[in-house]
Amino acid sequence: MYFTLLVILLNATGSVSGFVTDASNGERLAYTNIYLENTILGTASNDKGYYIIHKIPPGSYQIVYSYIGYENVSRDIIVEENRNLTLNVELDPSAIEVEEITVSAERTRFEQTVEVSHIMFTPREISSVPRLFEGDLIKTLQLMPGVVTMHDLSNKLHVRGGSPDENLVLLDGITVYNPSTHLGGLFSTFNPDAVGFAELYAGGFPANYGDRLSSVLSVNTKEGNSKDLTGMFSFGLVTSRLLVEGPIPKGSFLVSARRSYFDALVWLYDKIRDDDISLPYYFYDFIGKVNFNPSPENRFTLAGLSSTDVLDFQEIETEDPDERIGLEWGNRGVSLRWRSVFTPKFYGEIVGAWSNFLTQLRYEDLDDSTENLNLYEDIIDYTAKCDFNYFWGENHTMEFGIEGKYSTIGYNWDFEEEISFDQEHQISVIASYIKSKIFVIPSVLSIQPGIRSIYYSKGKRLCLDPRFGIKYLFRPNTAFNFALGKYSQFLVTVNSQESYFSIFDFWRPVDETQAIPTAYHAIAGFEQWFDEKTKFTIEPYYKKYYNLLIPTEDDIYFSAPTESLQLGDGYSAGIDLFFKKTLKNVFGWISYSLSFTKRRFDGDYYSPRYDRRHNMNIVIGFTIPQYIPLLKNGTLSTRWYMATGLPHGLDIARYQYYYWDPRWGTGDYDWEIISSARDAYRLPLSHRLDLHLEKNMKIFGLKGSWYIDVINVYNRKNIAFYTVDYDEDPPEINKYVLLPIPIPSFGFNLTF
Amino acid sequence: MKKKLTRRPTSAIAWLLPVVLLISNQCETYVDIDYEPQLNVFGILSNAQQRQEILVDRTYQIEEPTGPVIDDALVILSRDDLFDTLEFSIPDVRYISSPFTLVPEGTYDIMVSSDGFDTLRGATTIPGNFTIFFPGYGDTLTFQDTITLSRSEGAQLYSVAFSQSAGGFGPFTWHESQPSDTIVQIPVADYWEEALEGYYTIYIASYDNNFYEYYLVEGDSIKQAGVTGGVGLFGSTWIRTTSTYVLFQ
Repeated sequence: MYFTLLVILLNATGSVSGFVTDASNGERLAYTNIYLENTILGTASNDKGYYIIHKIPPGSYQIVYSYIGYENVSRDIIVEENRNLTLNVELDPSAIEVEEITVSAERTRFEQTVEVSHIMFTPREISSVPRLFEGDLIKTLQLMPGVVTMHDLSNKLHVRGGSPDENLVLLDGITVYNPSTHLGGLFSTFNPDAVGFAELYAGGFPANYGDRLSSVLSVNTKEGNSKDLTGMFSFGLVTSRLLVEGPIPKGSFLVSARRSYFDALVWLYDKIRDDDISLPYYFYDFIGKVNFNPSPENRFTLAGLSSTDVLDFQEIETEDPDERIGLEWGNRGVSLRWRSVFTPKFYGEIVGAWSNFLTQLRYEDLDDSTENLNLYEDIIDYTAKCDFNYFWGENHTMEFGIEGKYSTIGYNWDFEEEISFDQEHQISVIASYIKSKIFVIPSVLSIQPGIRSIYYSKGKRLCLDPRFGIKYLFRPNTAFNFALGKYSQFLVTVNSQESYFSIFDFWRPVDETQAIPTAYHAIAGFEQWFDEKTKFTIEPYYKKYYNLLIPTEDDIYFSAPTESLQLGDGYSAGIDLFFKKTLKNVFGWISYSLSFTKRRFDGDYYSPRYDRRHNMNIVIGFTIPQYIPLLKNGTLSTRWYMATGLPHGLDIARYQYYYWDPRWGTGDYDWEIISSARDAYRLPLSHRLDLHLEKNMKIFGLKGSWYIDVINVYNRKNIAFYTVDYDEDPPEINKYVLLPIPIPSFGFNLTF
Repeated sequence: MKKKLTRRPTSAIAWLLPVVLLISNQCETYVDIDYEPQLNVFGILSNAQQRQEILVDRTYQIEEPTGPVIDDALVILSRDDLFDTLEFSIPDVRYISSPFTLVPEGTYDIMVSSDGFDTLRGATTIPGNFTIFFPGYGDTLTFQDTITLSRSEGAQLYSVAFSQSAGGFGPFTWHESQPSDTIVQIPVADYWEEALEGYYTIYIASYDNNFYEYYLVEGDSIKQAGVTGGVGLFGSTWIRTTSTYVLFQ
């Protein structure tokens, strides 16, 4: 060992680098543990599966690759002075037991990264928690600390007191402006079969991300199987899904499609029963990806997304319909990525992307076209982005990059064959960033300073957003984290983010006259690993907002300009707790969040509707024991949550408001309503138990699984909101429960 | 060891379920509204009548059935030299004062109390007297003319109502003046589009700020125009009349 240190000091060393991939399908493996046997030298692959071990004294070594769920791989290598050895390695999925894996990917990440508030998801986690009809990434994220939802069916993410429009959502580098569009927000845009892994930064995200105030959700689709042609067909109550992936010369492809068929089932029912009913709504999405690797160092990836909801209502009551109402909305995007290892120490990625979110409402009068109405809103982005990693040495990695984004935001309103309203904004955002990860004291103290500079074309403004992270491992299993950062946002929504139901988001650029919305994050974290499979984290945080542009009403504003927004500020503060344990037959986690969120307009602080004080989720899954017939080796998972009610206002009283006329004195009256403050009340406590049972099966030689879910097992009637019915005398307060009964669902998957 | 692992979650669920069910039975099923009803008063003192009228009602919790107006309240109208306890009149469904003459620019107070409610107090300052410069009695008025009057002290809102001498009402309008106006001008063409020619009585009224606040200021759903301790309006108006022949040309 002293010899090794001496040689390192004399700088007569070599290096070894390469990619680590899954031997069964060619997927890159992030956070693989890699070390040289009988030395202190080692590293971990990064999130792209790339690794490099520096400063290896010349000689013969055995290099070991270890990753959760895969067989360890050992190779004998010879390292030469001032030379890099490129070694790309494939790991075979293993049948060995989870307990025997000494270092998990998550654990490796704990040692290697400085970032706080980071959660990584794999398809396993998405599919193993109870779901309403089918697995959903956003629904799974809602079980994490710091993430709250407004009601049982909501698919919006409110992260640490932020509104959904403060989340940056990326799919393979494509900005997704509204990820929760399907079935009134019940399902997200992300087809779960195509998701490779997803990362959520709940706060304190590093300098390579920007343009949002609260969080980053980065979803990466699977790479596509480069070994064999495989696929999966999934059947559920609401949708069916198909995934096909396979090799192409020097690469792989993946195609994933999903469509709902409520409309077809209702149509069939109507044909049989002739009941004159229809459900003119459906959604579909498509994700495609092609990888081409002309050499081990270069990879080109073309990825695309198309996700659309269609509501096409035509009068069906009469034989001769005379009007048609159509509504269509969705996300689309394409990205082309070139990933290259320029030198063993210099690694980069260049991305070009186009994305679009469109909302269109058409009203056609089939008898009189002059009465037609067309409302149209869309946002189109063109993005060019370069990200580079430079490995200065084993203790210093630098990332830097530049991103240019040109966006057009258009909204118009055509009525009676004339353009009544037509506006389009063009904006450019050019950002550059640099961040360094420095192990000041290796394996003990690391820091990650960074800065992001952003030029915003509206008002020709320049923002500098510094970020800083520090991690102190005061014991091998225990770390303290701290992160500070400034964040800016240039696009905001004009529809209220406090609405109980919101299918669309209407985005607008921050105006020349408006200050740029800004947030400051301060996060202190504590992370403890009790053993290799059990971790516990505590993260207190404080987030201060300035120049927030927020609509004060609940209405959805078609064609509303940015000026309709009010300027405010606010803060959110809280503490997130997370305990996670994974054993061979049992897995689960407990998450708890305490949070305080306030917004302020005109000098008065109030609690927005997503200010949930306490939020707890318990997820437990286990393999069904052998002694239970039929279900043995199946998986049963449960999810139970409990959360304090959300703030809300209420009409609390009424009185007669009299009219008066000088000609005849007092006239008639109307009822005037006295409303409480918007946050004067809180909804009752919410809680719910969900179950998920899944069992592998084989049909016609095909492997697969069936599943049954029951949502709201003990029929808790969680109140989502109140309304007052003024048609009654006296008025009645109606309580709306979104899950009035236990909801069962089932489905199956087949792989081929 | 393996057996132990597989049993652990089962026992956890078994422990968790009764707790969950216990909590679910404790759930809230009603909305506990924190609101105490208040008195709701409506009264506009007017120089056009000898006896002033005050209506006393109350506010209701949102789901509370509507009841009759309050007929057992103590309602006192007062000024320097006036202290009048109003009597409830069943046919008018309101409280009626003794006859007295309003003093322009004089301030009148009201106090209303009733068991179970906070005492309501209010004050109004009667708008100042004013002179109608045009049209005078017997003048002819056309569409092109402007009704002109001197400012009524303390008033920024006026109304003009035409009443046909033969019976029936003609046009009516509201008019807001600027605080700096010394002369108030109300063009006829602004509101009179079609009507019969003939003799009319014109009622011109000025209103105090409480009246203005009650009817024209938007925003707060709780209208407290000149009152505290309750809701409603305690305002006043000063009315002058003139007669004219309206000619359309």
